[in-house]
Amino acid sequence: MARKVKITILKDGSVKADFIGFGGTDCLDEADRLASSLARFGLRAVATSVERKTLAQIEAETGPEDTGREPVPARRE
Amino acid sequence: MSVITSYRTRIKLSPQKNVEGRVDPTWLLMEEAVEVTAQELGGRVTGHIVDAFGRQVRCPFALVTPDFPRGVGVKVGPDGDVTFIYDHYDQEGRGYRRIAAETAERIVQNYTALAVAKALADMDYSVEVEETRQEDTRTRAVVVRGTL
Repeated sequence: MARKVKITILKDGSVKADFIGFGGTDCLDEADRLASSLARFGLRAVATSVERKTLAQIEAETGPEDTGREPVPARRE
Repeated sequence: MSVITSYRTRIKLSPQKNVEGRVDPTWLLMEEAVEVTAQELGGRVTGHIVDAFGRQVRCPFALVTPDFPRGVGVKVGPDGDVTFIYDHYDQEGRGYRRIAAETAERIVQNYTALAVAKALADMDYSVEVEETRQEDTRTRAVVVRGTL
């Protein structure tokens, strides 16, 4: 799955960054890279909250996790 | 793990407009933000504002709009901090205080959106920008999407 970032800039200039498709702590590293890159363009960004996504939110983005098991067909006698 | 991170932001330009004989990118970005805002509001970019008595005050960038002809100016302090200057004195109920504040906010929002788009492009993302409305407040928001 492609890695994506959706950044919403609100009326007061505050920013909400949604990191999609990053595994492990990669999204935290990417958030640091983003803050450094923004500073080069004259924007100091201070994180005010970090919200972990729920499993349901992650599954909605990436699809359900593959367990590697074959589905068992339901059968009625 | 995937996260949603919220940031408080502050614009800080290079203290000097010209660095090594070239205009600093942060100043170019502010110029672009003021021009974009002027287009959106049907205004124009100048180098000064006027006060309630018609006196001119020079500033690096200023935006004059039909709704606020005195103009909103952008000043850059010696440390690169940005402040907005305007005279909203108004005894005729023209809403100058609100209009000037909203114009300044819009410049900040556009600067931030431009900076985010350029920062992501610099990180090798392909970038798309769209304007939208927040679901709860219906206020303007700018969404920048980056794909690696």
